[in-house]
Amino acid sequence: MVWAGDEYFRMKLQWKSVSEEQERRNSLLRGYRSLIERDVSRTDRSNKFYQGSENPALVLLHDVLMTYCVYNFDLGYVQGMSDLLSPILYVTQNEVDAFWCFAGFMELVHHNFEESQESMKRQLAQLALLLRVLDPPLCDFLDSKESGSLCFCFRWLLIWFKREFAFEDVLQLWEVLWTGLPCPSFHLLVACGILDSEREALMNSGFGFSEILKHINELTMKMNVEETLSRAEALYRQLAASPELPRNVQELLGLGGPAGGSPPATPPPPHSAGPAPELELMGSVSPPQPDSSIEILPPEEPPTARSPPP
Amino acid sequence: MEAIWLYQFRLIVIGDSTVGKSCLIRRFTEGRFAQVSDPTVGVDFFSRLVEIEPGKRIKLQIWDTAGQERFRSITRAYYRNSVGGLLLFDITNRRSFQNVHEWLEETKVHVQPYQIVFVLVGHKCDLDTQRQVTRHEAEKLAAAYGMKYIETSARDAINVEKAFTDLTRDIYELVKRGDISIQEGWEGVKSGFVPNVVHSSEEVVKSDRRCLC
Repeated sequence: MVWAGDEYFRMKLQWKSVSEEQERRNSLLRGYRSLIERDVSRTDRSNKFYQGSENPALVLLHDVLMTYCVYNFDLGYVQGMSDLLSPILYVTQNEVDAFWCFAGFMELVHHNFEESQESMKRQLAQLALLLRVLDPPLCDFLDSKESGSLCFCFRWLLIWFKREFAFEDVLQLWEVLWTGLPCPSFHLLVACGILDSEREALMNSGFGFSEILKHINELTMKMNVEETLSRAEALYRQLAASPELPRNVQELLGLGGPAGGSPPATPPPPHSAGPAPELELMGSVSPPQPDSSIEILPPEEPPTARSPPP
Repeated sequence: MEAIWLYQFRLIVIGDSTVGKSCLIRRFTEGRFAQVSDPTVGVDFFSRLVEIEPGKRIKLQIWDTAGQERFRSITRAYYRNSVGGLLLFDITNRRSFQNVHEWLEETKVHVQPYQIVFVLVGHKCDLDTQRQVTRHEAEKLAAAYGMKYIETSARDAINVEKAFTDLTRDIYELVKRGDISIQEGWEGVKSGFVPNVVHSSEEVVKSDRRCLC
């Protein structure tokens, strides 16, 4: 794969060869560089692979992220990306391979990092849709605590549970998610699985909005990945076997409808929502259809905050 | 069983990435300093009781936010339910100081016509040799916006208690005077259960703070 290396080093040279003088006039690049430098110094530093201030792995982490900036300058560097690269670099132990694997991973999740956060909002709405089908009482409870938007799951979805599980467990979890099996959007079912295992703790707690977020954030590093995956798969099987699944849920999970001729379960999440009857919650699967009923943020938010400034 | 508190105040901590928001909050709520802390993505939540006068406790709910602009559309949803805020910059990073104005504008737009009581915090004051912002100019800026200014260090535990406690006291005074009132549907200030102490402002005022929505 000589060409992949050539291509990588060509792009690496692009930012490497920017002089100080030039960078002074390029605030965007300067901003990305300084943020990358600061994030690299605090990403997985307790992991042996990244320990110590003179660790060469830190340089690689930095260089691959900088090169990704040049590769996708419109997106640039967004916090959370260092979390996504770190395990990949750890596994590949090779700069060029790590870059291309990371670029591939980013193909799946780059929408998460876009300014509008539309993709994140959509996924939270989809998660709410699944949860509504799987566990209406839990949904009602969360609604009553102004947490129905599931905004406390933001970090889970943004960086695919990277902060929630131990490093080795993240490797396993991601490998499963990358297979696209048993269904697309399986990461949403992983989230449902975790919420399912916490339902008693949440519902019997008397928690309000803040405490729910705190409880969820504090699950970090306390969960078992095998158990979580089994739970998620069980939920998938339960949904797949369900005779009356709303059309939008079927599409989200790539399930062909039983009533003939529906699309096969192809991996990438569907990009068009069918006109079939949908659950009233409407996690619209189609791209940026403005849908005022998607409540992903704390409901206290004023309407102006929902649409980003022009 | 939870200790009795007079009021609950919700505070938000904002400022550029890497100015030390999470470290400051952790020092305050957990009493420790983490040499390395993951970049905050989204929003974290912490809480702690402070005693502003003997026997008078305030429960603080503190929202820690991601500093990077890209996450604003998520974090700004939390401004509105905050009564107070710590606006941090890093005294060794001039840029973070220059952005203070932008942060104030950003919050102002999203809580109008109400206000968040901010304190301006010059953080990492243990790194005085690398200082890029003088105390004088920071004080001047703070005064121009009607804020107090304080310099803190999470590493050396300098002024961390004071930053939070002073802000809490100021808000408490405003609540006591009735300048800030408890409103239904607004989480910024909540009343606790304290027998025999009733301030006029403790009565729920329904005149709607949510009028903008």
